[in-house]
Parts: sequence; structure tokens; C-alpha cells
Amino acid sequence: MTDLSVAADDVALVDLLDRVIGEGVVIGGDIVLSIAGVDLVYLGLRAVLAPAHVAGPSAIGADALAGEAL
Amino acid sequence: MITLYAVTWRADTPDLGEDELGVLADGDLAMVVGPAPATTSREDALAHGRIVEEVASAVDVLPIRYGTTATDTDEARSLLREHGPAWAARLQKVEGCAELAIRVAPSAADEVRAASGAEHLAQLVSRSRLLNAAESELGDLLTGRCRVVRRLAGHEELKLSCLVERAQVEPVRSELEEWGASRDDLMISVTGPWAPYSFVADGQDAGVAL
Amino acid sequence: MNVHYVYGVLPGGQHPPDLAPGPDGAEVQLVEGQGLAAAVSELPGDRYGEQEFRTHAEDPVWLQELASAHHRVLASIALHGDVVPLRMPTLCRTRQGVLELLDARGDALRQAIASVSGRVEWGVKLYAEPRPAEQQVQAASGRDYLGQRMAQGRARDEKRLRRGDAVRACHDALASAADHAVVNPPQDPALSGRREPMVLNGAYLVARERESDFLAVLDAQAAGPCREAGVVAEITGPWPPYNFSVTEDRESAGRP
Repeated sequence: MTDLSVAADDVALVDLLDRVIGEGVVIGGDIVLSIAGVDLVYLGLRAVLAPAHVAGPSAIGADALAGEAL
Repeated sequence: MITLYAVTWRADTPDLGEDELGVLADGDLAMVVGPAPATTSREDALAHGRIVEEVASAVDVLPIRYGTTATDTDEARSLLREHGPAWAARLQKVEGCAELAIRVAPSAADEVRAASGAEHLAQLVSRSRLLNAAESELGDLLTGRCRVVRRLAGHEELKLSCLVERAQVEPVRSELEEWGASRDDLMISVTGPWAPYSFVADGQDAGVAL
Repeated sequence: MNVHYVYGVLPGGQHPPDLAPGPDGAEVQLVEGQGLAAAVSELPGDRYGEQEFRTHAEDPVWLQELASAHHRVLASIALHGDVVPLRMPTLCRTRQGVLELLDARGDALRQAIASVSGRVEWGVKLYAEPRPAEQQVQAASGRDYLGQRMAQGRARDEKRLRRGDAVRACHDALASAADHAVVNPPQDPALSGRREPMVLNGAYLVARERESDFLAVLDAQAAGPCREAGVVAEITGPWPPYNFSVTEDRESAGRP
């Protein structure tokens, strides 16, 4: 596990959480969840990514299941 | 109680790995459902997201927000009936596309302790200008490369979602990363491809339709 | 032609004992002006002039040696009082040039000294312990395989969330025990010398009299939430305030 994959996947996790909780189809008044602490894991891009680093592909879903561990 | 994961085309009926998930159909559409969790948590939200991504890796989906439940499968089917035409139209708009999540942040540390309230505000303004300028540049860069770009709420970072045809995902990612690498004053992160969470409602085309 | 290499600036009239030697054992002297003192070494221009810096700009060994010297001089001053590190390299052609620097940048330098007076910088780095290798999935069917891999994915996500929480909590606790805190990008393993990924690269400006509280907070975080989340803490310092000196060239204050 390299530094690159740790950092990129930390951001990917926050990006997924933000979307699952904050975006997506909303139906009527059934939802309600406010999940406290979603941002607790994230200190910001500067804390996570080295300066010359760019986030590599973080495809999840079938690729993650079949291939390399995140 | 059942939890609702995503809307798909009935014809696509995904082959689900999990025994506990099911697919309900009505008309042209189908919905992926499962047992509702006892409590909601970040961990459960993530697991929910992983399932949506698993389905999205195979077929077009409209992800449903975490925490959406129906009393039973009948109610879920009736939701499909009620929203069918609107959802079918949305599914067509996102057909063959995925979402890239972009974050842009200043690469310099926040200036050390502003000496006064005025200085602090000046720093905020300066950061905000930098990120707005970045948004504009990225808008130009992405014109013609992706279908829609939408800015999400965020103060310390610029957060964008872009709806991209699957074949364009890697080329767009590379261009974005090159842009980031060329800028000393900014850093960029591009994650995905994700299911099109940010593009499920009318009015979410209103970011920039390119 | 010699050059005057300026390490940093301190309040005038100080007499820090035991100044460490500069590059190639060069003597370090204080040049006083405007109520300030610049710590300076006169260095041979054919080895440390502007042209030499340009030539060696990409030479990590040359730069590292210079950075070590730069740092050790500043650290020796910081042991005994406040000092504001200057960007590496800050070169003047003459001693008069050093005085002009103190004059031209006097206000910013005084402000920088005031902003870090009585405080030192501590660096705390957190590393994620390597994950034990995952079990190979033994599955009777495709469905089963996917089900097990989803479960492994869930376990990874949970571990990552816990780790993220521990890192955030540690940074917040340390920031509360300090006067100011900055997060920096994680260091390359080539620099950190460690193979585990760095998950926090924090710098904390701590008042000298709050030092033991700060260290106690770190101990508590390291032994408790960090350890539970598989995160290891490493502390370095006290440093001159490389990350906290408000001068125009704040950005590369020559941290080794």
C-alpha cells in the first residue's frame, strides 16, 4: 500500500459519503437523516495530498471488488 | 421497512451479489431494495454507497439518497409508478455517464494568524477569489468534454461534480490532473467514476450545461 | 567574492551562546541594526553564490547539506530565545546589504518576531500502520465471492473511518494545546524515512510555558485513540517557527 493510494482513497471515501448522504434522489418527506460527524475524517486536501501528488484512479464498485485492495 | 438504493431500467435487471438485495419492477423501471438498517451511521452509509456503486458499474442508475425507506415492497412499487415518467426522463439524461468528483484547494497553508478581523476577512476573500477563478478555468477546460458541471457547497474548497460519458472519464481525469500539476497555488483531487448522484433532479442541469 | 548568508533574524542585543557552525564550519555572527539582529555567515561565493544555487537547485544532496547547516544554526539560536527563520537562501553581497535588509523589511520582521515570541514549533507526524494482508476469499459461487468481497470492503471502510477520526481528533487536541497549528502535505517516504503512509503532517506553535501540557496531550492521544485506530505518532522539535513566521517569504523558510 503506497502513500498515493492511501491519500487518494481517503478523499474518495469522503467524496462517496458526501454523495450518498447529501445527493441522490430524494423522495417525499421520508428521509431524514442527519448523520453527524461526516466531516470528521477529513482535514482538507492539503493535509491529505502531497504537493506534486495527483489523485489517481479510485474506481470502486466492481473494480475494487475484483482487483487491488484499496 | 426496506431501504431503497437506486432506480434502474427494468430491462437491465442487475445481477446482485448480495442475497439480501432485491429488485422490484414496475413498468419500464426497477428499484434495488434491501432490508432497512437498524440504525443509521457513516459506516452503513458507506456500505450503502458501495452497493450503489456495484450496481452502477454494470447498469445505468439513479442513486437514491441514503436513508430513504419504504414500508414494504408494495409501497416501493407504488413509488416507481408515481415517479416513473420523471425518473425515466432522468435516466435517459444520465445514460452512459458517470460522475467525477473534483476538489480544488489552495496549496499554501491558511495564512498564519491574521492580526485582526479585517485581515482574516481579507484572507477569506482572497481564498474565495482564487477558488472562483479556478471554477471558471475548469469550466472552460471541461467545455465539450463533459455534459454538465455542477458546483457543490463548500467554503474551504471548490467542489465540483461533472457528468461525463464513461469513455471520457480517464481522458478528463488526466486533463484535470495536468491542470492541477501546472498550478503551484492550487491542488486538485479527482475521484470516481461514481454513479450520477449529483444529477438526479431537474434543475441540476443548471450548473453549466456544456 | 564572498556572500553573506542570512539564516534568520532575532531581536537585537541578544547574545545566544554556543552558536552552531554554518556550512563547512563557517562562523556565525550577528549583524545588528534597527533593533534587530541578523544571524549571518560570510561564505565563499564560488561555493555558495547565486550561481551556485542555480546550478545546484535540483541537487538533493547539496541542498540537504545546506539545509542541515541552516537548520542547526537556527536551532542553536532557538534554544535560547526567539528567532525568525529566513527563506533558504537569503544572500546579500555585502554586510551593508544585510543592514539594508533589516531596514527594508524591519516592520515585517518585527511583526514576525512578535508573532512567535516565547513560542516554539513542534512537529507531529502520524503514520498508518500497515494493514495485515487480507484473507483470500474462498467462495463456492460468484454471488458468494462478491458477498465476501463486499464484506471485506466494508471492513476496510470502517477501519479507514476510524483512522480518519483519530487523526482529526489528535490534530484538534494538539491545536487546542498550542497557540496555532498548520497541517502540511504528507511527506514523501524518501524524506520521512518511513514506509508507512503519513496520515498527518502537523506543525504546532506552542508557548514555552505550555510545553509540558502539549506533550501530555500528545501522549494521551498516542496511547489512546491513535493506538486503537492503528496510528503511530512521531514528534520532532522544538524547532524555530518555520511554519509560523509571518514574513513575505513565509513559504520556504528553509525547513530541512
